[in-house]
Amino acid sequence: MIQSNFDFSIPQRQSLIGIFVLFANTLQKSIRALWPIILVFVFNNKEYKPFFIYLTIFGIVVLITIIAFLRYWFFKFYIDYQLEEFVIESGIFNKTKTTIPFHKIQKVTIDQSLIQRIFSVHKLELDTAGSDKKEASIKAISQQMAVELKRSLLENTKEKALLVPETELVERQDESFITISLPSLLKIGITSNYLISFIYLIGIFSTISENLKQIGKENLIDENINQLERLPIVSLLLGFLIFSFTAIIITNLVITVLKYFNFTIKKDGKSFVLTYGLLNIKNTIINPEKVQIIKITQNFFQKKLNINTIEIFQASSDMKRASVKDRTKIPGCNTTEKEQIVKLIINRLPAKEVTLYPNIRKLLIGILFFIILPVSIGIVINYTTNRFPVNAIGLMISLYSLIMGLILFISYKNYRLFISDEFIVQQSGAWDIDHKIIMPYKIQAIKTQQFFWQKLTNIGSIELYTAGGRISFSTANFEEIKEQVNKWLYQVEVSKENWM
Amino acid sequence: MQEFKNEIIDISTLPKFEDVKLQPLQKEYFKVMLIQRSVFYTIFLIPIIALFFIDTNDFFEGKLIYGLLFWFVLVLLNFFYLKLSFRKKGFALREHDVIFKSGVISETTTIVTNNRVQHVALHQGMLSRIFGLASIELFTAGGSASDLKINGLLFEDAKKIKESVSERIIEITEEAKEQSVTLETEHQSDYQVIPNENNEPDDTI
Repeated sequence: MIQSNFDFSIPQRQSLIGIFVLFANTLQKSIRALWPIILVFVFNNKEYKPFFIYLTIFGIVVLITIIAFLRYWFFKFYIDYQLEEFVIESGIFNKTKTTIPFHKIQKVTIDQSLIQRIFSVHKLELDTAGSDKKEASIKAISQQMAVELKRSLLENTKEKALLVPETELVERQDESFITISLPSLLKIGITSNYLISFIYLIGIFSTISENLKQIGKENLIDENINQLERLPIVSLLLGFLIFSFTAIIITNLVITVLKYFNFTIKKDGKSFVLTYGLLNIKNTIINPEKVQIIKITQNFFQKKLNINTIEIFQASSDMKRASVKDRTKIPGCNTTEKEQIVKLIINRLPAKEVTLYPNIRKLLIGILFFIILPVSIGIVINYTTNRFPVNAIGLMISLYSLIMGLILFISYKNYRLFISDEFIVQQSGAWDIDHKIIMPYKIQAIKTQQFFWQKLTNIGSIELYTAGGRISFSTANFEEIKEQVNKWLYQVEVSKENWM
Repeated sequence: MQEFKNEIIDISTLPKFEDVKLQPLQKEYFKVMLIQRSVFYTIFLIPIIALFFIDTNDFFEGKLIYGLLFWFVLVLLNFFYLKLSFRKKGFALREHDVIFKSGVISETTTIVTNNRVQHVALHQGMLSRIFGLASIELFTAGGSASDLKINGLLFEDAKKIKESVSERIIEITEEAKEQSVTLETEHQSDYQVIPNENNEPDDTI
């Protein structure tokens, strides 16, 4: 054992200079939590005395300093050699004690963000497989301490012989495998997640208006709306559409770039490590053995721009239950990168030997439930209330039927199950087309389902459960399904491969 | 780790799960269900009668009979459905898996293979104990939707299933252990210390 300058068996504190890092961290968090209120105060027309402003700022700085110091003071970490655990104690009022048994430690990373670089301190993080969330992170310690802590942790973990053997003591220069470029991220930003960003925007607007109301400024919104109402309806609608569309795209771009900036994939022995983020840098370990489902998504625009989104569903490291499943998203990779990543996880690209098609009844049932039923309810309601004239309702119905019919038809056309000896791929979707890939030996349970009236037409559905979620295929030829089920059962039962 | 194999699988020669003769549940289990439902519906009857007695405005005067009739039809329909669904239920134990079929309107067949079972639970309620019945639950990593529960087994049978499946689990764990010794994988399941839920130290002030 190498002589250590630190005794990690007694509780240690971080570097004193680390208070600055904690200060910045607390400040960032406070701003994130309170930004609507700050915004309201900045744009409030009320005149404040300069003295009052300075006093407030001074007060806030003092308060955050105190919090940062207390966080520093109560944050301790040590190694419990007897129980073979790494322990972190933290919290000012709510005490938290985090214990990580050695055998769960997969990787120890030493990192430096911008602020940490300024104060020449280091961040040490412990990773356990399959988790986006850090099990433990120490924000500010000196380089010497970080290196020695890492060494003592790894030495002990290695003694347990359970650490992934590739995680070596010596820092290997990991070579970057794939890096997602900024243009790719921008492409993803403008072509995906419209709905999520829309909801996010509504959230922002409602917080702002709520805060404006609280300080009695709601008339600010009302006045603006009143002015808008004088405009003709068509230009108002058009303006609203253009405005919301640009807002959505801008939010999308900002979120995507913030979250996935400088997305790199590094191979680390058997597993690989994803690093991404502009403000908060995230590290995620993907262990191919633990991957249960790979989902590849692409829509029409993305196809034209040659970008894909890959989502990886891993089984949780500990409980082996799907309830704690973990998803990791890889945005904006082009076709070659996509193939590289897929090969990295499952060694080869899935072949399509057998294809299951849905029965035409799937389309007909869709039309019944999403077109005929709502349209007839609409007609009946309009007939009794006379809300709209006949030609208006006719136009609405034909427009709705056309759009809905198109969506149903396209998703029916895309609905496929591709089967080969080693892979099962489910394809679905109307706009965003998903491909979900699973391997038969990772199946945990199989369910087949058939309504009694489907017996005549010999159609039925199937659900395949893995430790990271399930895939299903409905309204298909039941004979073919049963045939495949028998094959999958055979494959699962003879399989000796580790499914996680 | 993954050795490449590519043998041809002849689907037509594989054993067919759909042709397996399913065993019905124990007849006694239907009695257990009947007793349970009867207790439930008797309790359900109390508010109907209470409504009649508390009624001060005589609003329900002479209408008690309709309430009781409604209750009676409901009970009859439910018992009929119960009988149907009981008849539809069946299970089969094969060498490598357990099959369970159920459902009146929608027929569902669940298949769990023995080498994917995480653990087995044997339940025995008070009523079941009187009739010598038990139920068995097979848990897999596929989540609660894929867990397989078979009610109305003879206690002896349930015990046998539990033992045979447990044996298989132990076999697999041992195989995995042997593998992990040779390959030094990080997998170990009998040692569990779960870190505190709030393990992000910077979230607590």
